[in-house]
Amino acid sequence: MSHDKPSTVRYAHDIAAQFRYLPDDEASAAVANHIRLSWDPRMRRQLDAEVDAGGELDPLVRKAVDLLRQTAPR
Amino acid sequence: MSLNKEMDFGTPAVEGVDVVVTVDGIPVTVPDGTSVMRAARMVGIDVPSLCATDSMAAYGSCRLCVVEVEGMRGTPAACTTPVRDGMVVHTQSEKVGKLRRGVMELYISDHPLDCLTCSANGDCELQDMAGVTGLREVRYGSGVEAGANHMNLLTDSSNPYFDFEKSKCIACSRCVRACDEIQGTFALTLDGRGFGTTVSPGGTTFMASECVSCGACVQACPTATLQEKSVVQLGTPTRSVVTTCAYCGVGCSFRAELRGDELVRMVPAKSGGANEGHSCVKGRFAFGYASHPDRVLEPMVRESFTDEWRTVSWDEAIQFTARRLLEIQKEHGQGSIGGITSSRTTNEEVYVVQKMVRAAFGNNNVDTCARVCHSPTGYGLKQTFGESAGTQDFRSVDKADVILVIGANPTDGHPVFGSRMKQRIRKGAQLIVIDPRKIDLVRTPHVEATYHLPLQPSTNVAMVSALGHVIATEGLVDEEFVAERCEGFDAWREFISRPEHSPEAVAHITGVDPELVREAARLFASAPNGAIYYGLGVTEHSQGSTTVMALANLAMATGNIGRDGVGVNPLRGQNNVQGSCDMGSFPHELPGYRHVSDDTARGMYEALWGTTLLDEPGLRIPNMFDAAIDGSFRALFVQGEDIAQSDPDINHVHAALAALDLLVVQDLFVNETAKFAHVLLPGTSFLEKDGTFTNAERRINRVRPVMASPTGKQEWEIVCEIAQAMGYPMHYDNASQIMDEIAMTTPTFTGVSFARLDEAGSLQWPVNDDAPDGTPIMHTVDFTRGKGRFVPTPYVPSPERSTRKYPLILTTGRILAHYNVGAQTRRTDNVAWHPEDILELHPHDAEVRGISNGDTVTITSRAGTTSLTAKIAERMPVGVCYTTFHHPISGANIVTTDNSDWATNCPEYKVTAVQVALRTGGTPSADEQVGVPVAVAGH
Ligand code: SF4
Ligand code: SF4
Ligand code: SF4
Ligand code: FES
Repeated sequence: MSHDKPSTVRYAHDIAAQFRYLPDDEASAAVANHIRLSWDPRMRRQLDAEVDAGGELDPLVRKAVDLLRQTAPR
Repeated sequence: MSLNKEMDFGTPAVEGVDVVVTVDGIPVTVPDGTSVMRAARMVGIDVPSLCATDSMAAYGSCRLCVVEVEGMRGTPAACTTPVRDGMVVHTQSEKVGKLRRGVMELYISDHPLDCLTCSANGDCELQDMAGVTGLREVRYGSGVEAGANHMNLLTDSSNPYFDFEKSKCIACSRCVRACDEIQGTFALTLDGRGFGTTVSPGGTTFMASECVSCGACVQACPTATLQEKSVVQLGTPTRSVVTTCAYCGVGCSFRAELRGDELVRMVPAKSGGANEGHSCVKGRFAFGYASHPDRVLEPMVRESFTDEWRTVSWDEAIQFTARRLLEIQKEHGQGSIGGITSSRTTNEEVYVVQKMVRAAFGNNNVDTCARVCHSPTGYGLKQTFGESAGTQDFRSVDKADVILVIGANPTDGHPVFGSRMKQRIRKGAQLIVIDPRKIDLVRTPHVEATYHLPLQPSTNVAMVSALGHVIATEGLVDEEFVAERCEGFDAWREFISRPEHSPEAVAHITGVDPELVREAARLFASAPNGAIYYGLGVTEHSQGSTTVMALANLAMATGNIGRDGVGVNPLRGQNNVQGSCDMGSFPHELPGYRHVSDDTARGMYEALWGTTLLDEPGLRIPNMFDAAIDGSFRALFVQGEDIAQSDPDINHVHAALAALDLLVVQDLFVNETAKFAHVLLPGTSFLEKDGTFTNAERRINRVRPVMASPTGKQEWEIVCEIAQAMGYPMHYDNASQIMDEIAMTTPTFTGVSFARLDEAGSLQWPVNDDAPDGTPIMHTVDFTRGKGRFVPTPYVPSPERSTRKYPLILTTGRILAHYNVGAQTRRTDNVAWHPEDILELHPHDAEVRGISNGDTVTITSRAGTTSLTAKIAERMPVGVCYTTFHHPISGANIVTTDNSDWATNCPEYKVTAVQVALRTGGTPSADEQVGVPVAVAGH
């Protein structure tokens, strides 16, 4: 099946959708934490690259990526 | 050699205060209400019997068990007479001896006297009783001389596994009662009276009847009337080995009975903790695949998957594999290789594969097929309760007052547990079924659900939250339990009480009458004991993990955790799903569900394994496929799992497998995955394995070798040899040493060893200093994580929705006779029940498409197209169609999509938007993959 977005972006959006009920700060922290605990580093790098390339991303995902960059080496 | 038959006490055990009775001068202490027969047999005094057996209630029809009781008139039947304190029983006297011989005379007069050539010779209770009662003559003549008799009745051989030789029937009714009381199918009837009494499967043949071929009647029959065909062909068995079924997550214990080295039959063990003497058609009869000619017995290798296979020695296969793995890693990096473990293999086999990946490959790229079935259970229950496992033992259902079944079809998927659940419901428990389909439990003989909530597929979270809403807003919360044992409740109550979660507000999503939802919630919340059972209809969704947490919330809010009769219980698909997860086969978790970033746990393995381990998660199965296509993942070791058939969006999977530089497959057969492989390492069947399986109730059962492995090697040995050849020292003398290492390193397994298991029969983890005999019920005082945690569960609609182009929702499941992708069951006579996968759809959906029963239809989703035979089924709701996935030819995974659970990437097998159309002759179009050997998913 062909997709216009890399699977990591879809996964990140799926995660964000589940935490959107929380206040913004808590939601982005929860998304970042979920990604940190369950993703292979190369998937995180792919998501990073998507952010750097200015891809169309949910602001919650963008914020989570920022958090991940602060706490974990790329 | 002994057959090691289990003792039959004649009647079931009862609970009660102890009383003392005297049988033939021997005092015996038994619970009040025990039968005289059981009391006698407990001290080794064998009262003769024919109609009694301890797997069902006494019936009292044969009168062979008559005894004398001091102070009682006449000669009461020992099986139906309960003891009372101080009773004095005499089992032998001239009077009872005469009565018993009289009874035997009548039986024998209507029985063929071909004992010497009968298939049950030496294993027949009638024959035994003739001996025990000292029968010497039959005054009425015997056999045909006796005049009117049943001896010219024809044998029914319609069932592929057993015969019904009616002429030998003594009308004891054990079979009828076994079918009613144990299996709960009510397929057999006893017609006529007195001498004219006959037994039949509802007046037709077994195959044409309601019979599900569980074999309970065959096991109960005291004569050769109901007899396994294998016994007729091979003769009565001469020895037995106790082992565990390798099919579903019930994990039934069996006595594998052999004659010499040939397996004659599988007899469910009464001592089996999970099954207590019962089984289904798969475990009892479908073992022929193990000796099927398709099995691969020698290793094979090839440079490219388009080359022909080359049969090689074990040494060459192992050296080739190790060399290629090292070369690929050198060229593409440490993370470019990985492995997948299987829920069909033992704990020990899984443990060594994850150890090979973590220690020898030096990464965390290990995942298990549980990814595609119960990974959301692991996540959801860990988040809420702190342990990735079900809370109860199976027996617990006997104490449930209200049973909620959601997204599971136990009578097909987990038959032995399904029978147990039906027994409980017949005894008065009420049932709530949440399922798009009218599954059998909704209405079956003597069982009817109080509520069936036929929700739209993929709306589980909306539905379970609505139940939570009713409980929170109608004052149905167990406030004391919640205050004492849980946290996060206030936030959850605030969240769930919002009007958007009410049954009325979600009715347009779930499609279910809100009043029905309210009534079901009230019923569940007001039950003294409410128990939740769920299956893949919960997990295999884009919100699988959320639904698991929503169910956990429901159990906590109603105080239904921590005792008998309650709990949250995942019904696992494959036999060792629980075990393979326990053994550390997730890329983010070490054995015992400890995160790879947990320095203490990782440090311990580093010290023991003598190497550094990575502290970041590795790739999950779908991530491996993506990375294979991206080029960063190049080599994969697959243990006993057919990912090219069972995983969703098969075109994508095939592209990924074809992109690998090295694919190593360890399996019994050249499966679909092996078509892309470079190395095929022949595996062992469960009849050859030595190790343990852990079932859905955390019960660790021994799997014992019934016969020698025809490949000459155990699977764990092969894995160790690959690791060794890669330069990492890994060696065990036997499987028991692997379990010792698991016990040494995993806190929930501290007290487990083969010796301890052999002694106890089975143990439910945690087994440690706090619980040396195991833990049938979890979270009794505290939750594993301390306080149970409420987690708000917002409903996020699945991205997969019906559209004008794809207006129907396809959901998938399985049926009783088959297992998973059918690799094993299709190689047995079980195909007699299910020769092909069928698409079921509602009469209305069929009519508007001009489809009739038996038509060939095409099914198209945005992922692909396949075709199936249609069946019009009232049990389907409008707009939803259904198929099983047991036959590769049907290729249901061609149409399933790459949507997955947000937390675990468990694929959303249960929801695919499709269009169904009548196929109007001609050859399939180019993009329609009819007949391409790939099948669908799930377990
Ligand atoms: S095999 Fe099972 S279902 Fe069939 S008649 Fe016997 S007990 Fe009933
Ligand atoms: S078939 Fe066997 S179990 Fe059933 S009534 Fe006849 S003898 Fe008894
Ligand atoms: S398939 Fe399941 S229910 Fe059937 S015998 Fe095996 S373990 Fe038991
Ligand atoms: S065994 Fe007691 S009446 Fe048959």
